[in-house]
Amino acid sequence: MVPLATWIVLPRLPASGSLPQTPHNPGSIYPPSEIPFRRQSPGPSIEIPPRISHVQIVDLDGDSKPEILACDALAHRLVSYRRGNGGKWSEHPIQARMAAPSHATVVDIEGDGDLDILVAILGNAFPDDSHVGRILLLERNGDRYDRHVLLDGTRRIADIQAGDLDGDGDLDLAVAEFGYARGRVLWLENIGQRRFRDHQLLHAPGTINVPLADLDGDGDLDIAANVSQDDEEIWAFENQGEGRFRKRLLHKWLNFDIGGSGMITSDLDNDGDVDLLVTVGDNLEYAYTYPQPYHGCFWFENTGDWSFAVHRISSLGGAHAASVADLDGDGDNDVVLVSMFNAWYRDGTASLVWLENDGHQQFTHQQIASSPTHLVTVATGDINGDRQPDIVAGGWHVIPPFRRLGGVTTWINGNRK
Amino acid sequence: MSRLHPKLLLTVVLVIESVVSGWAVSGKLSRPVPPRPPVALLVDTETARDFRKLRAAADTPGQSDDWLALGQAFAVYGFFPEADRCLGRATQLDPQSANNLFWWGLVLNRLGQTTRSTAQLSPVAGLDTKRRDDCRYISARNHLRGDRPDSVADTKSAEAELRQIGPNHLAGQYLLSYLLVHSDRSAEAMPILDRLIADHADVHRLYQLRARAAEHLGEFNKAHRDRELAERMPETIATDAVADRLGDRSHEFGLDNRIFRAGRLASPRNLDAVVKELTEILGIAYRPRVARLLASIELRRGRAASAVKLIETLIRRDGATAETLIELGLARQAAGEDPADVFSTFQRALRYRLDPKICRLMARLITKNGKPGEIERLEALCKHAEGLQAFRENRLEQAVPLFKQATAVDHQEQADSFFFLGECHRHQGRRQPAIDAYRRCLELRPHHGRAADAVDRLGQG
Repeated sequence: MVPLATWIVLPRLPASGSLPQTPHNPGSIYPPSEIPFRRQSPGPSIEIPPRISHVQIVDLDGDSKPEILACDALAHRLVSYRRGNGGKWSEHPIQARMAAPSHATVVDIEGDGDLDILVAILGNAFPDDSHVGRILLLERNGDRYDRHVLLDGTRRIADIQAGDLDGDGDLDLAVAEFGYARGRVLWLENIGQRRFRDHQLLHAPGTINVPLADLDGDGDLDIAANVSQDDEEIWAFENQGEGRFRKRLLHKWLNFDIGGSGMITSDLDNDGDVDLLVTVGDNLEYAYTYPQPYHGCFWFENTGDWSFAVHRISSLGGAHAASVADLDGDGDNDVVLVSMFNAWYRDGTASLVWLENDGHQQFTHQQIASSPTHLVTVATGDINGDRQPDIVAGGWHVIPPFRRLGGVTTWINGNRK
Repeated sequence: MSRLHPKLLLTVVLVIESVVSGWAVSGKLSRPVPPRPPVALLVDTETARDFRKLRAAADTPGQSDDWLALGQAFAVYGFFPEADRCLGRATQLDPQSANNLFWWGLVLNRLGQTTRSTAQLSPVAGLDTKRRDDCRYISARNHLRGDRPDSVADTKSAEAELRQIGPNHLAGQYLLSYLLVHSDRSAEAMPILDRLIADHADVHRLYQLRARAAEHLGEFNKAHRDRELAERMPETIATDAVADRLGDRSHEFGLDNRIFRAGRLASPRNLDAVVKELTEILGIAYRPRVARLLASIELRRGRAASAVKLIETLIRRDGATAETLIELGLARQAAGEDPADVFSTFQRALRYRLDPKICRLMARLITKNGKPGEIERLEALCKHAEGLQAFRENRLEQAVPLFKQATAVDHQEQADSFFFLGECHRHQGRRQPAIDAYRRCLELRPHHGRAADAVDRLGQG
């Protein structure tokens, strides 16, 4: 009787033991933001996983109403979004048929009073060591943009910044030739008539950003560069005048898995000098990614004389880009971070957070969004004219899971302070 | 006594039955349950079905190999915490299995739990000598990925692991040199790099690292020479050993396994069956490589219109690349579309990548429909592209005549043809022809920075 009962019941009994509990990292999740944000998607509804490589908030046409400018590396185009009076967005393609644009820099390069656009062209969004990169100038002429190639025959170009680097009154360029196995940092000397002579500053693959700033406070523009492929390093090129630069290694990580992903300049502590904010969290070398404990954001506090004190201010998994703004209107600089590689298989993991500054550069994380995922670019600025900084971010969906998709997404700041 | 015996016997039997049944029931109730992440929501139906099968195998009653298989499947699809738990169970059931320990170590590495990862990998070196160097290499990377960035202790532990790796493990030897160079010990790295370059002369990363070391040591000419050599060396080192290990198992599970089997099935005799299978796969989940394969088979079967449609969808969904545009151009050509459209497709591909194949395809089209000047320009561009390929593979003798032919004609890259001709001459020690070529480059493009620098350098020499 007993064996019979056991024989009948046993298969129906559920196994209910548990596996040994091991400590694990469930991904980055933070308390919800105390400031309310209203999310909008300016573009058309998403049918295909988007690949937005860069977004910015800029008044392109000088009507005092900022637009969003986005590089779309899937459709190979540059597009702007305008917000109408009712808050409804309209899409305006600026230029198509550019092979994987990675960054757009809006600047009056011609000095004729309107804003031109420099576009860094990867040539291929995926690993490629061949000479597929180029620099395009979209020269504004009335309502249209005329296209010029400023430099080609290079490997993949990730960033271009414009500034007078040799003190001759015109705008020169700093260029991050990311490449793949090989790459360089260049500066291009403006010799007039849209011609630029290239000078090499560093041989290293994987330079993502080359922001310009007066890092040593001597009145001229220096170049910073975050190198992220074979080496994981932060470099500066001290401007010594007349087109001469002194190479300075500001920081290196021996952990070459750290995954440098972005760098911006900002006087984060409002002490009058220029600091650097560096995000680490790139995991693109893996087919399936996972946030790592060493990911996050570092504040490189400028302590003068080319010294920087490095502070970890966030451990957001898969952190990919940062922006600085006073989101809560309390007079200090807060930080906005996006994540490309959080633990996306879990609901609720953060893709967009802000770090509230207590005024002494101690930061508290507040989660704004967990969707869309895979955000690689972020910018802050007043989108709706209420004088409060809003947020725009772009999604790059090439790694699963392909849910919680988003191309260009805005978050309107609802702070009432 | 004898009448009591059957009752006693029955009681004993009942007690034994109860104990055994109780043991079976308690064993069942206490048996660990395999993790159940929301796989079905996140992967395609085919793969989700495989996960169910693997989970059922681990659940009834679950030998070490079943848990290993489930853990591996979770790992290759990125469910790392679940993989960690399954592999922990597999190791609990068979603690001496090198396979269990190795996979557990890999998964913990991907979870960022580097200390636990190294703890699992350490015994593997003793259990499986073939994996010894790989385990030490991954352990060294674990040390470098610790929570204490750049701490001296971590660096020393990494170096200790790497020093035990055999001289033929290229990634390990490279990492040891890297660590030395970046710890301001370039002099120690130099002999290792010299030996590695002697054994692997075509690996560019070795030259890049040696250039860095030479720079540290103040040997700037040597650094410059190595950087130039790095430009012409085609090979790289697979240092992403962890990624490779996980990635190379994906074809064993789910839809990837079906794609793998379809690829093996493909032969000229059964194209219909393969097309049917690939179409079904695309219906389950859109995979760009499957779409490309299907388009190429459709083209071979003479169904060019279908190939055009497939590649157009591929470009819309996955973005255009030079390769997909070439395939689109060829499919359009086969479908008998307007030659001007075909030409413009190739032209677009050429904007994405300067590739001799595209130039040849365009030249062929122009030969039928274009003007003689255009043909000549395209042929010169083709020579330039072939010259670049030869240059980047360090085949300078072959590159020189190609660049010479390319420089003879006015085309969009003519200045660069002169520049690279100059580079070839310079690397072959022909100073004056090199200067002449650079100067011709600068006449065409006065702002060519590298040509100007080269003339300056050779002028000084």
